[in-house]
Amino acid sequence: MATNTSTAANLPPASEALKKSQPKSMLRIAISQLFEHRLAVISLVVITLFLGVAVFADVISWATGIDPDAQDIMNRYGPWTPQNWLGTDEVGRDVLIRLVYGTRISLMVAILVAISSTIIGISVGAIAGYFGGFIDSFLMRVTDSLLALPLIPVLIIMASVDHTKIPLFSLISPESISIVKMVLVLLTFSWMVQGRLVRGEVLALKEQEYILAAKTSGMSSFAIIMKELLPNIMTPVIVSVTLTVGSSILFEAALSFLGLGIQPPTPTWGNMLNNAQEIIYSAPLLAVIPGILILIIVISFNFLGDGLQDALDPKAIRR
Amino acid sequence: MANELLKIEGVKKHFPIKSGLLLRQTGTVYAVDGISLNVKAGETVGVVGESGCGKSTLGRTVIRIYDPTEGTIKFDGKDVTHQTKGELMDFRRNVQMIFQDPYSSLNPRRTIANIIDQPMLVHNVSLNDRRKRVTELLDKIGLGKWAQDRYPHEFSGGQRQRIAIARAIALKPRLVIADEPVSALDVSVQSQILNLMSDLKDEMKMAYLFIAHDLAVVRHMSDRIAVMYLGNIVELATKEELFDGPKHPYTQALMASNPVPGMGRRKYRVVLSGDVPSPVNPPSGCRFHPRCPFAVEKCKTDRPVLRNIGSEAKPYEVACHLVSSKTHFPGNQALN
Repeated sequence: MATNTSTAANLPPASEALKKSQPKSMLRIAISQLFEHRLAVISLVVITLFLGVAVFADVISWATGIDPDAQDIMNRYGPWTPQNWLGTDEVGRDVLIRLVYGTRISLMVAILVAISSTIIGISVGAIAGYFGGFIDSFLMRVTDSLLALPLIPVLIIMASVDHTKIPLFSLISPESISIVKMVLVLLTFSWMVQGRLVRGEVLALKEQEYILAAKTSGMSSFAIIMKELLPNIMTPVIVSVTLTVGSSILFEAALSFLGLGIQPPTPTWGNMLNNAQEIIYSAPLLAVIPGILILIIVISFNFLGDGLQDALDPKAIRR
Repeated sequence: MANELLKIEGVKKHFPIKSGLLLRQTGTVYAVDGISLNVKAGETVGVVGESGCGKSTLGRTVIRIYDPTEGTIKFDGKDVTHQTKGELMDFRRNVQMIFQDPYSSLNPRRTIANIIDQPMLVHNVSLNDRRKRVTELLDKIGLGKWAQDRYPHEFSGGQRQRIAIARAIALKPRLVIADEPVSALDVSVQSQILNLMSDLKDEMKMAYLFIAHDLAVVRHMSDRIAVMYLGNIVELATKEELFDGPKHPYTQALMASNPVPGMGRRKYRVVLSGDVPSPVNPPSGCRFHPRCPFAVEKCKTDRPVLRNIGSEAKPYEVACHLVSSKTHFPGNQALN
């Protein structure tokens, strides 16, 4: 086409270096940047390790032949032996295998909470921020009221609710009921942070010209939110997911410690701590070990969040 | 008049200022306050004015990013002022926009192909046609196929603006609204973009509504020019006539403030004092009267309307009480 070439002929050619360079995808840049952050990499390894333990808890139990619920009254507060690496607790259960199962429950609860609160937070925040006006005011007042609710009294009430009377709850097996309850409770109190964060980001971005360009091309509001806005707010959201995982683990531990969370015999780090508090003088390690695990995993998630923040920051990409 | 592509009449856009706990309206920004303008097919109409005079708001109202407070917008004879999103699709296909800042008008998380492709995707162009068109457009703007999988941050300002232009013309629109398309670019790059826009216009028979604050740029691009002041058009004429002898005192001042290479060419000079009044609280009567060196009593009370002082065939419109004929303008009185 003659006209095409004549149009292009007046324009300066792009530099050969740019033409030849590999197109860099954002993902690749982000990963290479993340690997420069040493603490984040260590954290990632630690988290992967814990996740592996959580996923293969049953395999570990089967391989070692130790049942987390098997009691041995003759062997209470057992010492560290080749059979029971970390000894036994007040009813003679193996501490290590209970920690392994505790990892599974604690991580599962935390990750479920983080993911679902992010989904709710993104929906609420994006709708409030994008549409503004009355919807925004309404959703934000709901968020504010939930933020203002005192946690402990609400939890006590929720713990005392007879869940067999709630229709859908009867479908859930009795062992996992306290886990489901825990997730719902933590969710109720954690999505607001994400919601506010997303709303703020959306408010800042929605006046950007590429959003206006999308509007003038006739894109639907839903498509604009999904395709134009969300990819640009994923950075703070991903960071806050990792931080929420950390804080949910802490939260779950704290609630279980208070006896309001997941009930024994299901082991979690939190209720293992709770069990250990009466016997803290006779068997201090029963409290110390779950405590250290909580510390390690929460710190790891925080460091990972930190590393991700640096790696995903578009301003840092230019270097 | 025949083949009027875009016709806007008495368009107003007022923004409420809300404050306090209950967001009660405490004031109004009269950003665009009664503008009538038309753009013929294949024509470029320039809109000039100082920052904050409502040029960009006008552009955004015309393309229905903002809903006009009053007035009508007709495109191709059809009233699009109150069309719903679905009804607007035809209008959206034919009217596109080029934005000012090429750094914020391209989504940093999408590839170039994706960005150019997007309007076509919305308007259900088939995948094959879209692929072909993206390659064709990349050629047209002087970038090749190599550019398509890259992200905007790898390109310079001028290249980005070219990409934005490619996106705007992807659907072969009949009208492109260019909102200060070169004011964020280096002078050396500006001419490339302007030439590219002119070439594309000739090739594709598009019309432009060209918004800018740089007189030289507008002069280079436009067939007709509208001069805006505080939400109103004060003067509207062909480029030649306007630059030959501007009639409205504001246009005269605007041109006088524009440095012209050469010596002793200026016949008169109107120097303005003070700032542009706030559009929240615009002056009564003629919006320009507090700064106008020729203002009389009438200017303080009566608002001048845009009236034709030229011929029917060659309209020359100006909104000033003092201008009575094509050869008469207030600057003369001051000089004689």
